[in-house]
Amino acid sequence: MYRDILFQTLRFLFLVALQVFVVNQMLQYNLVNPFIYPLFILLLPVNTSFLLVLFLSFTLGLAVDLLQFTSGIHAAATVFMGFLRIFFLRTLLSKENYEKNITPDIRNKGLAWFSVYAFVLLFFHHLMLYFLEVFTFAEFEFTMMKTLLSVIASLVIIILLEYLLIPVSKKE
Amino acid sequence: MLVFNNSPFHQASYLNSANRFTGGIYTISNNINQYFHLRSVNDSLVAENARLQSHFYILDSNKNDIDTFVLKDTAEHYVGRYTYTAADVLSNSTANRNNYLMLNVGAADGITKQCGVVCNEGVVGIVYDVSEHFCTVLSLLNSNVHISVKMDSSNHAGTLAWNGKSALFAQIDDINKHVKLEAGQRISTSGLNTIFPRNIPVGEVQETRIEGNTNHITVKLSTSFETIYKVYVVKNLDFDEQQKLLNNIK
Repeated sequence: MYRDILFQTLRFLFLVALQVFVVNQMLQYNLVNPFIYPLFILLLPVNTSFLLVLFLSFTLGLAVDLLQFTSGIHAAATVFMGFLRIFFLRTLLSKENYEKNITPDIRNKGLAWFSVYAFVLLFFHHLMLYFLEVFTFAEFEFTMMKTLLSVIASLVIIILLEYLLIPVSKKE
Repeated sequence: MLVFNNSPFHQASYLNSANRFTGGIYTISNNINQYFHLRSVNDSLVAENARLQSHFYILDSNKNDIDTFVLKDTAEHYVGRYTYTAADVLSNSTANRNNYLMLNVGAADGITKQCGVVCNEGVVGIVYDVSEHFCTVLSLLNSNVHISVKMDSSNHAGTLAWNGKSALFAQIDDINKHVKLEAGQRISTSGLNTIFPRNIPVGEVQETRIEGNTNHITVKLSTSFETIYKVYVVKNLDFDEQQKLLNNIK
């Protein structure tokens, strides 16, 4: 139990640091601007309570907001994503998955399932994020384009990161 | 001339503020990062030194204060007093719609809100929030920043804003279409606001497109925003006095 909490805390800090100090420094284009920190929410165990997911989403978004000087847009987008995650998992997971309290990752559910899961949730996260950031529908096409391209970039990095994290989660 | 549109969305300034926590984290990150671009910082400082050598005579006429740069025109009229404070960029972004920088100077160094920020290449942005040892800066690449600029050749003034598409270009939409414009014409700050002194480089005309009565000008920015490491905070010592007069108009 304590080990799980410690492990999740480390993952939280690792992803926020990776986002702010590596990804934000390396990939700065106005059309492609990937965000990989939502991986933390994607990889929470399926039985994590609804309120806890929302709370963690908010904390995660707020941490990124504080480091990027954005006033709450990451928090809003991540909470939205955490909210959708519950419904997505409920429709797509079997009872067995819930009984075993699996982590919805590539090892447990396979690459194809994880890609769809990550793509859909990341899409809504990025959509919310970019529209809140621009705060107008005037640049609709540009914002949609930015959302789509960024989601694809985020997804590729997240899948690579997933493979990087698998050996760690085996030790659990 | 400077429009400071604080949308309600940005008024949650406790999230935006230059606090000790983020400042501390970015200081650590900067201490590591700065070794990787020592060479380019060095080159830019040498280039700037050379430029300053050639402007040395301006400082020669300044006898008030060694830190105060008194700008005088040829007829020795008083134009303005500005102090320059050197600062390191602790964090910077260019890919968002609204970009911010964090600098390692703050109230303790005499920085106040709405100071200008420039680098040796040109304009960088405007100080947004100040804490004891840090400040956050609205980058020119931010929808809330509009800067008063002029054509160097004709002195026509306009307002520069950024449309969020590329960190290399910004836009001017309010220069009349009868003004003759050619690609490559230089654009600098107009000095018509209370923030920036006159003649700080901004960029050059990339292309113009006339649509109805508006002349859409694309400006290639002289500052390369992706690689700013050393900047100067420009403080207008007459800011409060000028602002008070401007407020009386309303």
